[in-house]
Amino acid sequence: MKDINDIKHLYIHVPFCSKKCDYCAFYSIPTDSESLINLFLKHLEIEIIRKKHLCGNLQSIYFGGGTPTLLTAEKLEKLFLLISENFVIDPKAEISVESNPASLTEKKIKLISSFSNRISLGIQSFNPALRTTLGRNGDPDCIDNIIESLSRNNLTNISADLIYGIPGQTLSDFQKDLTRVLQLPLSHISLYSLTFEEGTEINKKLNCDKKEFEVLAAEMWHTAGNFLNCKGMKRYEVSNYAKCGYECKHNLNTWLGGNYLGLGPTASSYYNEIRFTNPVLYPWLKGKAPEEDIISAYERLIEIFIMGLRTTHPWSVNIKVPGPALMTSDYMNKKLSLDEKKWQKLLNKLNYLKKNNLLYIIRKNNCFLIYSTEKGRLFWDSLALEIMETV
Amino acid sequence: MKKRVDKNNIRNFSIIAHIDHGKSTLADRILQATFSVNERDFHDQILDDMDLEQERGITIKSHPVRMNYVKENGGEYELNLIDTPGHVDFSYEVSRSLAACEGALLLIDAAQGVQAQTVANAKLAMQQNLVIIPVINKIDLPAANIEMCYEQLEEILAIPKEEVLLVSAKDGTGVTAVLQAIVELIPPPEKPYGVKGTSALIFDSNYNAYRGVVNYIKVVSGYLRKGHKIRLFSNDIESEIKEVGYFKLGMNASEKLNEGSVGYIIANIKSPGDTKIGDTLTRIDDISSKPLPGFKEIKPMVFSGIYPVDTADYEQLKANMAKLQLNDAAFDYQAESSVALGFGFRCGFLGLLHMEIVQERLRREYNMDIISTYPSVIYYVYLKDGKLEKIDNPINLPDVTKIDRIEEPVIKADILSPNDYIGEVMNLVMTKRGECTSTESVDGNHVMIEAVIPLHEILIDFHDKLKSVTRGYGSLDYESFGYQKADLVKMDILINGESVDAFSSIVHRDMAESRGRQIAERLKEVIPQQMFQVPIQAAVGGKVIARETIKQLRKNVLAKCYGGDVTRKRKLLEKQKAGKKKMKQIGKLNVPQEAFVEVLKTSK
Ligand SMILES: Nc1nc2c(ncn2[C@@H]2O[C@H](COP(=O)(O)OP(=O)(O)OP(=O)(O)O)[C@@H](O)[C@H]2O)c(=O)[nH]1
Ligand code: SF4
Ligand SMILES: [Mg+2]
Repeated sequence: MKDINDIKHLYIHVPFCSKKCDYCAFYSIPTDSESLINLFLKHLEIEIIRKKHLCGNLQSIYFGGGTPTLLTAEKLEKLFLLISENFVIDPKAEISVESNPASLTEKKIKLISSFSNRISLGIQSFNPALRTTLGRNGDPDCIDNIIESLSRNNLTNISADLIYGIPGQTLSDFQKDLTRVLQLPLSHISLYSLTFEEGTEINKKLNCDKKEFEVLAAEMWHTAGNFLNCKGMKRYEVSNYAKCGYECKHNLNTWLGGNYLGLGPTASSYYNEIRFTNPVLYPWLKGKAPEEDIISAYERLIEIFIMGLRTTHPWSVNIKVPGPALMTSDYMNKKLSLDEKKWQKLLNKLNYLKKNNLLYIIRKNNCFLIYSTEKGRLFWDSLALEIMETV
Repeated sequence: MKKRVDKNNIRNFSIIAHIDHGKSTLADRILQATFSVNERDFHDQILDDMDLEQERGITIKSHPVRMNYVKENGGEYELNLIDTPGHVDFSYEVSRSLAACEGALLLIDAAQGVQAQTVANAKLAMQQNLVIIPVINKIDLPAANIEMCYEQLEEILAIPKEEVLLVSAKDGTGVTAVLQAIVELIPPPEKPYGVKGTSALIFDSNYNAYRGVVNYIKVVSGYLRKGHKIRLFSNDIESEIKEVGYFKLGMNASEKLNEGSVGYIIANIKSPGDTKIGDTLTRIDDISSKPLPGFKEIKPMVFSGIYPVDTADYEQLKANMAKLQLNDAAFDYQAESSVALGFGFRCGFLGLLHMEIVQERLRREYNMDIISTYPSVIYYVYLKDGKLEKIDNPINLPDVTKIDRIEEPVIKADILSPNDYIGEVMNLVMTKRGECTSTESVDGNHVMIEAVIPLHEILIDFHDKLKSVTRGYGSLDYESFGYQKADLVKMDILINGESVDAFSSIVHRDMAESRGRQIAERLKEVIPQQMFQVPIQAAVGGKVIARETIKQLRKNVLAKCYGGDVTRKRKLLEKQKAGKKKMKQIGKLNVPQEAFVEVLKTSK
């Protein structure tokens, strides 16, 4: 197969943090070792040179981690240079940087503002006791200074991350966090329900039945939906809220089946209908190839379809009888095609899910618009499992 | 070629004992003392060659093995040893093995002394006129009480102290003396009076995926070799022997099986169903006029339904059950169907452990995904019109208005317990609706309590409870003892408002409520939460007697799902999907296989 050479979305994984948070299951190494970071940058350059031909005019770039802002200003500059020198970046491209507020300095903010136009602040919670439960370092009260500095530097597209459903957290604690975070001039918020992932510190710390937290967490999800909606922030994905027009383009692209290139340890890419996952740091440094997830076209279609249902964006399916059904979303410039029989089978399942209030299906002539209900998003795992069964 | 061992130098013997008294460990030592096992290949309880046996540390099947033994002052012997299981549920294995032997080593754990199955198995051997060599094992244990064992053997089995050997199977002490006793005390096999021609007793069999049916036999008269045409007495089916051999650790082909020897034959018998354990086979060119005495038909005592999870697997399950039955003569099955589960089989077992083992073997050896229903015994239901119906499946219980009375099977239990716990044991018998009929002291410190108890009560947890009230010292043997009238009712389990016939059971009226509550609690734990609330109810005659509710799932969504999580999430969902395939759909919800097992357990 010929390599695609117009991937428009780029992800960079910086796998370092100052300290591992107790709830974190991401791939990151707690270190600030200069030499390791240098090594990382050196190999990132190698990977860039090897893969940059895959990309066209970039529409979005996302620096995630780990904590990209853990890098010193000097290293950060080097990282940005690597990107700007090797890729063509559309002037309107969305360029996001994830940050831990504790790691931000005036100098770094200046640098970030000069290169990017979107920043996300990992606040998680303002409540000191809950921060301790999470094992999250840093003082959240530095936020106001940071916001001030960001606006001085004209970086105004700001997102914040909060976590809810924390053991010990009451509904009113959560409302306080929400109120506090909305005092900031944000355009976007990510709210994550705490997950007790296997192997995390918090999972070990709390050996009780985690199911009990789910009841309250569900309530918080509803509360947040209503509360933020009133403030003009719409939930456009299970855990993401934005002012109109400020949805994260980069993430929408991945949810809705677009191609993207991921660089750095454990970063994943999707193109040529294959998902690739890079190895962890050391094998990555040694140049080990990414793992390829090769599945049938129909399985891939279903995977993309269910991912899209995490968002409020509809899928449209055009049918021509006889002939294949064509599935698209407004976010993807390619059509996914599925044969008549498979579409019928899928449609039966979708109708069943509609009956259970998990989906909306609107039919206009030969076109179906399919999107998830609020309940469908809250039970997305169940929904996804049902749809997977048609494979 | 090896010199043929004279028939007078053949010794056939079994090792019998109560469970865990060290039979398989002594077999290990004997195998080593006769150089029958390569030290490199050796591991503990080497004859327990099923994974299940190794995992659970118990013997499930009888295991025959041949050894050559050269006595110190000359004389070469062929020893055919059969290691037997100790658990009551497998006593049929013991009695069949004994039929292939002239002698038995009776083991007694030096710390535990004579236990219920010691007595039961010793009696089996005596009935078959076998020479018994009593052996006190585990004399290395600090808690060993050899004097107590002597006394019990004398009092209970009339075995004088002088005949008893002292052994530690663990460190090998006394094993040489055991070998000597075997050749000196056990007589060589002898052709029974009046038997003419060639005849061999099939005492076990096995289905080998590559070679078909393997029959385990003892050649009682004549001899067998490859190419011989044979005939089975029970069904006149004729076939030709393709291979004869004997057991080492595994099958070992040989030229010939001589009179008196234990070994196997593979003939071109096509269907597993053609072989019957206890049958006699004879040679067409050296025909014997009458069959050997076979085995007493064994009657299953516990019944439960076994169903394929995927209804499409029915035929395959049927074929595999036939194969398994070859290797488990006590297991019985016939077709039945259930509203909740579709087509399956009603199966008969000797006890709950037996039931569990059969299910595990179907899963592991035959790769079947199965679920089983709540176990039941056979009830005699007398109708008002005078008719009698025998019910082994609760769903077939006639309408209450038609029933005059129900009788349930009872057993006579012999419970051996230290004096200190008599009170607790009697109390236990009472709570299980039983009645103590006599007590007899067996030595200064132990009593034998005879009790009549409903079989149904024994099935579930009597044995565990007995062990716990006697600190592990009590033991139990039982046999059926007819039927008794009882106040029994059918209890239904409703999940989400639907009665699930697979969970129905027949219980005593006084126990229905507590039993119902237990089952409901159990099901609540194992059935996953759904997007809706799921009530679980236990009901008798339409009246709900216990209720639990599986709370509604409040949310079920992975919070973070970005680029790299997609593949991971899909793989996770795929796993769940595979898991869901193994669940049984009942109405709107999927019930995992464990649910069907969990309802059996009463206490955690
Ligand atoms: N100390 C000591 N332990 C022994 C001796 N013989 C056997 N054991 C232990 O007793 C336990 C049971 O031994 P097995 O040989 O499996 O007993 P078994 O009679 O074959 O058991 P079943 O086949 O299940 O009836 C094992 O843990 C052995 O290691 C012995 O002479 N001394
Ligand atoms: S900062 Fe983020 S990536 Fe690093 S340990 Fe904490 S949660 Fe994980
Ligand atoms: Mg054993």
